[in-house]
Amino acid sequence: MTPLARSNLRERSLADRAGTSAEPFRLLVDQIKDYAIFLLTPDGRVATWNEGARRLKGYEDTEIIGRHFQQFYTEVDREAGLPGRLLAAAIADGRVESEGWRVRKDGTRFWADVVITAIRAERTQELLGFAKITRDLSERKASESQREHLVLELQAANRELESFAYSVSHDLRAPLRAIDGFSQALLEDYGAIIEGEGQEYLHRLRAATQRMGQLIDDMLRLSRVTRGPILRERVDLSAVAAEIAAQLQAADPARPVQWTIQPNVTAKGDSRLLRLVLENLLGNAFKFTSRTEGAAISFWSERRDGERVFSVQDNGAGFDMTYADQLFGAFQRLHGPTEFEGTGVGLATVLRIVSRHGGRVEAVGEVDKGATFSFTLGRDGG
Amino acid sequence: MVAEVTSEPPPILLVEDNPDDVLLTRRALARQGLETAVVKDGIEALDFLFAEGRFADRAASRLPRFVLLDLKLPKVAGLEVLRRLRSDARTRGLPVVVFTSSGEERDLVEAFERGANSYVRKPIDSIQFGSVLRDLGHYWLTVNEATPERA
Repeated sequence: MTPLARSNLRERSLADRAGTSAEPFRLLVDQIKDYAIFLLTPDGRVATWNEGARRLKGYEDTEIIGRHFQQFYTEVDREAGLPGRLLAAAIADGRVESEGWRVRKDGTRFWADVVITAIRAERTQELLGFAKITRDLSERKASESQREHLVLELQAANRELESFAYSVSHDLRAPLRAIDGFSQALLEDYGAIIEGEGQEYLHRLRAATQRMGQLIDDMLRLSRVTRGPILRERVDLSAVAAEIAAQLQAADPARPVQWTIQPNVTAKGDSRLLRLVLENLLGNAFKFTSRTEGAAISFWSERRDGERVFSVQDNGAGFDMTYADQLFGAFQRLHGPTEFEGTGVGLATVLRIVSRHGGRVEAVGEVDKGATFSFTLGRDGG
Repeated sequence: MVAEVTSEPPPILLVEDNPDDVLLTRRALARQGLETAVVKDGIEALDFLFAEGRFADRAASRLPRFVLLDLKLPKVAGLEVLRRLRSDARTRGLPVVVFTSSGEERDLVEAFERGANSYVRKPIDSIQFGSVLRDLGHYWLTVNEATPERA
């Protein structure tokens, strides 16, 4: 904006030292409504201004032409000599920019961005006056402070969540330990006088505490996934997948599972979190093929519509696509605890990690035919 | 549940405020034939080990063989107890096992930075709880070479 205004001013209006209008320029400047454009005399009086200035400041022409421009400034700024300093800076450097509060005719303030340019005669370099362009930034200022406010609120909420998670991890565990510990103490110390059914109840008590303990751990893991920054680095997903497969297989060596892991699949993302994604997807595949003859699990990557897509597929229990949208909700389970164990947090964790990378995740499945989980990692993830 | 003032202190000092955990920990150690002294906050722990306050007539040189230290304690928190033990020549070499519910990474990192010898998370599963304490007792009382006794 400044170069245009400057060249126009120089060629046309500023040649016109009296401040009467050269018509084309006047039309051009007057049509600019979003900027207040002034011409100031060398001693800082308003020589002429445009429609935008009239709207912004609220004065009529007759009220302002010939008045010193310092009346647009707050009293504090006037007393501090800011208007004069700005003109001096414009004379020294050719141009000065400042942001601050300015005052309308009715005394109200607005946050403004002001550029003052010294205008000199081309040959003699004599100071002819100043072009002053003012933009009302009140809205931007308001949205900035609103944003700052939101950020602060969010940070406070995050801290609260963190201390909540901390106290969950600490305080919910202690009573569980007591329930489980004293149930076990009863079994050990008084087992002889507790009859069969009583023993069974105590075992159920213990099993329930274990489940709740697992639930707490999974919840915490899920909340941890949302904390901290995403550190993007190149990750060898094939190597990670192979490691996880070996761990799963080691925990249940008798189970014949055919693993097919495409070599050299890499992605850019947070290595810790991507490992968690694969642990959940491969862990699920392993779990849901536990009753499948000839279980097969594969991991590969392909390009789809110019996007890198990573997939984990199994031929296990699968799921009914009718309920596909429930898969990724925390604590949602499509299988009863007697069929397959789990807390229903795994896929919610996957979704959260993938979303934090700017990617998407989708599931395709059919009951008793298996499931395929695919994810992307956003623009920088491939 | 207060430590007895005897000439030969129990080999283990448990710093724990939760009475259930005190009972379960004592029970598990007693099943291994191990006696445990118990204090229930950070101040008591420091008083006990430095033979001050309520424990003033205890011989300060008679330290337990190791300390089981909870982190979330009233008055003076576990990590602060640890810091003070490490900044005093008398207890600098005293084995301290952090024994806590917390699985938070920052607790783990801080505990080791402040000179914990070990960090063990209390298992919810009571059978694991028992076996962890059996292992700890065995390791620190039998396998590990103790710091020479200061007379």
